[in-house]
Amino acid sequence: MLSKKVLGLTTAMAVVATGAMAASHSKSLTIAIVNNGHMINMQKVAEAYTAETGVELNWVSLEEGVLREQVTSDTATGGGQYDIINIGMQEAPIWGAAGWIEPLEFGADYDVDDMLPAIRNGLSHEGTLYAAPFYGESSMVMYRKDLMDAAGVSVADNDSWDNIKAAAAAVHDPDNGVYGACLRGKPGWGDNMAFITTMVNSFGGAWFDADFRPTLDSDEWKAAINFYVDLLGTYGPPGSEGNSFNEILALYNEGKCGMWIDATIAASFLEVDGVAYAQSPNAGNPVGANWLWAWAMAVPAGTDNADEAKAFIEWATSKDYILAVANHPEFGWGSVPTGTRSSTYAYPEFKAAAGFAAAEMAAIESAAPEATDLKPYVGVQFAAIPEFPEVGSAVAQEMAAALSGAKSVDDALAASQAAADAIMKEAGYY
Amino acid sequence: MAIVAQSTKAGRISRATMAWAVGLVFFFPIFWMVLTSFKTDADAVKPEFLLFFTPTLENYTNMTENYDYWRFAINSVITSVFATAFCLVVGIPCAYAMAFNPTRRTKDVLMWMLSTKMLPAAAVLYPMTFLTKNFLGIFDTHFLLILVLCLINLPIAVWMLFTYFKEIPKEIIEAGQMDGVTTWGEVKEILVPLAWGGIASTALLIFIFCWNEAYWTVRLTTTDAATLSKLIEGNRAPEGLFFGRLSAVSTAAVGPIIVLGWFCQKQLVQGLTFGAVK
Amino acid sequence: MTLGVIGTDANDPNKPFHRNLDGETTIRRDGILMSNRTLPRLLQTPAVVLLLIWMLVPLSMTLYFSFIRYVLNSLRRPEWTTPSISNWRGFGNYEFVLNSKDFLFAIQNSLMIVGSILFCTVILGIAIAVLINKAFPGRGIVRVLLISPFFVMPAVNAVLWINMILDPVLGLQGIAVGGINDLIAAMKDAPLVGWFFSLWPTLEPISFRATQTSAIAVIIMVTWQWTPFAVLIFMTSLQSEDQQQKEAAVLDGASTWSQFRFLTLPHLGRPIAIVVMIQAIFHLSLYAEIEIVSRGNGNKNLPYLIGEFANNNIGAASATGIFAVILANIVAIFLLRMIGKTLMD
Repeated sequence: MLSKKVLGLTTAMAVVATGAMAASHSKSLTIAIVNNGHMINMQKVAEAYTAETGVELNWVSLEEGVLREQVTSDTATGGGQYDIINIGMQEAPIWGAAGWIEPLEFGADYDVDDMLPAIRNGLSHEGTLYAAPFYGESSMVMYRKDLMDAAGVSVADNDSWDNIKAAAAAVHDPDNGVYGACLRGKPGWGDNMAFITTMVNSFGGAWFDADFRPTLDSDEWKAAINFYVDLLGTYGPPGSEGNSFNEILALYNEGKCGMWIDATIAASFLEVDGVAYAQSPNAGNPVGANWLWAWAMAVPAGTDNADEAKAFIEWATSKDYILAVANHPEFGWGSVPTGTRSSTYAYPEFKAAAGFAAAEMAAIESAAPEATDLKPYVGVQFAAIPEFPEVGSAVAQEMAAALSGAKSVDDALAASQAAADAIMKEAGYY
Repeated sequence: MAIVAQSTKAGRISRATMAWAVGLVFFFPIFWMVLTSFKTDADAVKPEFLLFFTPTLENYTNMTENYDYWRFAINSVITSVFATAFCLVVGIPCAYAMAFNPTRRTKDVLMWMLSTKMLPAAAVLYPMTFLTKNFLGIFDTHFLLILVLCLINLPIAVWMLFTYFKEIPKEIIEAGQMDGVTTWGEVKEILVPLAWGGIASTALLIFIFCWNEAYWTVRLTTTDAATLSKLIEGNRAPEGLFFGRLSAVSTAAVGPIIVLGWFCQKQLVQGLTFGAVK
Repeated sequence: MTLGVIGTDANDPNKPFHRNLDGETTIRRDGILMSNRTLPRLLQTPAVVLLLIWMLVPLSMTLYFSFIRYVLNSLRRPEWTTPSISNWRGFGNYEFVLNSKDFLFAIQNSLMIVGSILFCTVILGIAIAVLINKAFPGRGIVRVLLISPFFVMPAVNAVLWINMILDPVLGLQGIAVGGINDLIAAMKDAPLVGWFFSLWPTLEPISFRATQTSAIAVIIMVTWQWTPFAVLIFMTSLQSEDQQQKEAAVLDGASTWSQFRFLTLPHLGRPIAIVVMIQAIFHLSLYAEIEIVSRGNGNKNLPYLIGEFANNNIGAASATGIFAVILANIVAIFLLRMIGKTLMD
């Protein structure tokens, strides 16, 4: 009797529970976005899209790492949870190649040729576009010209790393809460490794050789990492092992950084006075001293609403969207997503609102993610291969250990090399 | 109370002071979080506004406008309430049978149940995603979360209830039987009143665990069943200065459960003995 | 009649019975004899079956994946992206995981953080429980303040501590260190006492996200959250302590310490076992705290390692999962032995 009652109750509860979740949506899109300012703004701008088309939009905003984990596991198991996903340049070409995301084709009004070529290439696989860029970025130096002038130093475009270090040393004043250089140190292939790999690249180093064997024990890596640990360890803020884009942005806006080398998109969030921009420092590599990245929108292959999803992406990455943000009462030209279309940089209002426009455009145009003789893979601060996140995070932790002083640079690089080698061998490269 | 009488006045005062100090130290991080939630992001990191600042609600309005706080909160309430109820409905009969009719294997069954609690969730995440999404089609439903939350907490519930039921003197039931009380009467008039404390505190503890669960609730949901822990995952490091926003979201996520805990602390303590009190 | 169980026939609610501890079923008022095992079994069935499914179904899939090549995406070996028996590789995944950089570290570190948290919470828990055991003005409020951390979500706990409290620049630690340094600097020029302050060094804030400290940060925050749980259990237990025994000890001239050592501590033996057991269950699978504090830099456990492999290599993640299950079971057997003896008394 008792157990029957139990069963009955269980069923009753299951029914109640299922009833609560059965509210179905007729015409709605579920969009996974990374929790960044431009994406959050999109939720408000897109209210107009819903009003016009009647398509309801459900936003899932997540921290970058969690987003990647969720979107990857959903897409790899055939999708179905999201109609539109935010992915980056690392994923777009390989997910396109694996058939996880659908190719994108837009109408003539969309003017796909207006898209910055480097960005478009980075999001394509064999000439087919798989993800449409929402905003793009390269990296550059954002320094406090007021502090540099007071200290009698300057930073030039594509300056040498030694000059960068000298400038950092000149403005470093920890007693008054100003640190010479704020750089990424938080472990993660998209965090400290984005900066470190770009720096290594400028020293002429790369992740893999032509056979995809890791080259982390090369002289270029040793030189670059020694320089990085020295620069950030000496002139960086305490706790740099935990700093990535968001943390440094907070420090910078508190006036605690003399210079910051990071994504160009940061420039649109800077609120301190006296900021000037310079192209990324270089140690001699003719190409690729600065990275290239885009947060893009893609349609996973498992969705039932592919047409509606593509229509939304077409709208959200169009020229009209730029204007919609510019004319939105809450936003304006200072808040438009940048780094995707040449036409954006032609608006005088944009140039007036964004002092960084010219530097950003130059940085994006000079970024060189293509595979070269030096490196067999696509990408500056990453390698567009499925195994990269695993290799990248293993190495990232070693780099953070070197920065913390828990390991010598040589030991950290040797451990990185061994770990990367094991992963690549396991993945069947050799 | 000879000991109390013996202790000096100075001793008592210093003891009370210490107790207060410890209480305040433990509560301080929560106080700090609530206080910071009323500061703007910019003020939150400025030493001059450490304690004195112009309070603002902008972090809370930002949260409700941009992140649909109420949907997450309602999902948290639904899943936690039903999971707790489900857990008790399955757990009480089991614990009852184990306590009043122990066999040689009862202990082993109980131990086995507890050992399932030690299975690392990460080990079965991928199969669970695959099964629930592609095979059963219940991914991102309240039903799935309720089931999972119930299952991961069931061992603790059974154990807690078992230890509580075990302490109920069986002679009372015997006496009732001698007096010719009906079976239903025994359950209603003798068992339920005696076991109430244990059931209530089990329910509270399980409810807290359900509310705070963050591994499965984040990974088995997208939108429809997403709970407050997912809201936290989305907001734990937003762009720029974020202490104010983060504090507001955190306060809104843990506030309800803390207040519930305050109101129910007596009931919680009552049965939280796991058989440790003889 | 002695102890026993009462109930009704599973098929007929009008047939009550009684059964004693030896399993003898007694005929109740209506004289129906029941099989002496059926009802308790039926009552336990839902819980046992549910847990059995929960344990076996996903775990058997994990076990299967751990013996095959299975990756989410591969440009070189597309055949590995479908879980299929033709990708069987025996113990290859296990070998890869055993030889991977952080495997041993993850196990050692996991035991280290769990052990440290248990040590800290038990010591602090006993101290605080003894402290608030006797009445003092405002005891109710202090108790409410004390137990509050237990209700905080793990992720909130981690972001709160690592950002707002422990951050070496913007957090309270940074602000406090900066303030003290400013104070020392100002006092250096003061007359008379200036020489004293000029001897003081400038304080350096500690980074809690560094390799050397990230495990400590996690131990601090988890101890903060779980000490209240220990306090609750010890407090309840202390209230049942034999006061007469204590009074007798006082009359015999026993010191406060020896009262604590020889009366209170033995009384707390069982609750300590309970606290250790429950916390070990929860802390072996710490995840959010490790992720938020340092992303695995200097601090890792097997669940975190699984998460890293699961980026792409499901085979390796599954093999790690099986290792984690084995480890959990070893710890479980150890702990259950410890409390199992007293549990059934």
